[in-house]
Amino acid sequence: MDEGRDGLSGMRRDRMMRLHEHMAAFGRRYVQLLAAVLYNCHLSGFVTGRIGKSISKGICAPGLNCYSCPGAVVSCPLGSLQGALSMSAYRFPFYMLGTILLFGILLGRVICGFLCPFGLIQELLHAIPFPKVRKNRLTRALSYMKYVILALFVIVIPIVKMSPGFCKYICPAGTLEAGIPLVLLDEEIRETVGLLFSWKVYVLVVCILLCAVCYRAFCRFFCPLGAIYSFFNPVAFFGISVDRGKCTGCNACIAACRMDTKRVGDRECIHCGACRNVCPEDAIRYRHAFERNNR
Amino acid sequence: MGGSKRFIRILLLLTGLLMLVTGILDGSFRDVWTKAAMVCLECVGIG
Repeated sequence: MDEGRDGLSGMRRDRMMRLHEHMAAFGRRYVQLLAAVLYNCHLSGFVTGRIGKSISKGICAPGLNCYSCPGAVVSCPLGSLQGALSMSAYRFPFYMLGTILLFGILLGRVICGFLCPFGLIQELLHAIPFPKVRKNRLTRALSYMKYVILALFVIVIPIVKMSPGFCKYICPAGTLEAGIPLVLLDEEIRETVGLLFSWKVYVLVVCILLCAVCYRAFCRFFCPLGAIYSFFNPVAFFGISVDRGKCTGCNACIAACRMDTKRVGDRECIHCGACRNVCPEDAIRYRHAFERNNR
Repeated sequence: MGGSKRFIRILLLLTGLLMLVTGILDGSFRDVWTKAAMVCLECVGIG
């Protein structure tokens, strides 16, 4: 029997590793679901078609969650940022910039991996049996597109045209969580939709199809919020890191990662922990900035 | 490297807190709430 140093046979060790992977994935899924429910617990909105107006809507969720979703009890950071920038001629957007700065420095793209409802939706879509596109040089190159979208649709258009460019022309989360439910529930809104709604539904359908074949396609290629948080990944208080003393450079972590990472914890890393489960040296772990000897 | 990273973290954290508090005091919080409490016609594709 092939026994390792821990006394376990190879087969039993593989089984335990798979169980560990499933438990870790289940834990993260649980957090994602809980976040989605907490952001959207204004349940009467799904019946009446009336969005919530509680004071909590002045607080932003860390992940992408449309504030016009009938169930939303918090605001969308991206929508609110665009709104604040479109009014920046009158008032400097201290509150929104401070909010995003705090989210970014505390969690970075841990938010993408654990606290974004649209990230959860993408992962569920990817579970649909469909031919899959694996990451490659093209997907890595396409990952820069989200920075262009951030600059143009989230910053320039709101400041110049005083209109939320990303929300208006692109955001599939807004269409899915707000546009479609409100059109179905509210007759007044239903009667006023036109070409723009058709365009946004088209964008949503393309996004859904892309996510079915390409893991987290929206996150990787289009999401401006992920682009913003990616700047904070190297310095965020919480995240995933590699113990260089244990690492042998086998790159099993990068091979297992479905995002376009080049190394664990870089700007594309959403801290999902898939790398942690496959590291043969147990060199990868979640860390926080308050640890001793933390780098 | 560890020291400079720690310095950047604390600096950004304090800057974020300061901006957040300033924003609450100058009315930016109210702006965010006002926008979020109304249906965003752009978000739902009406324009």
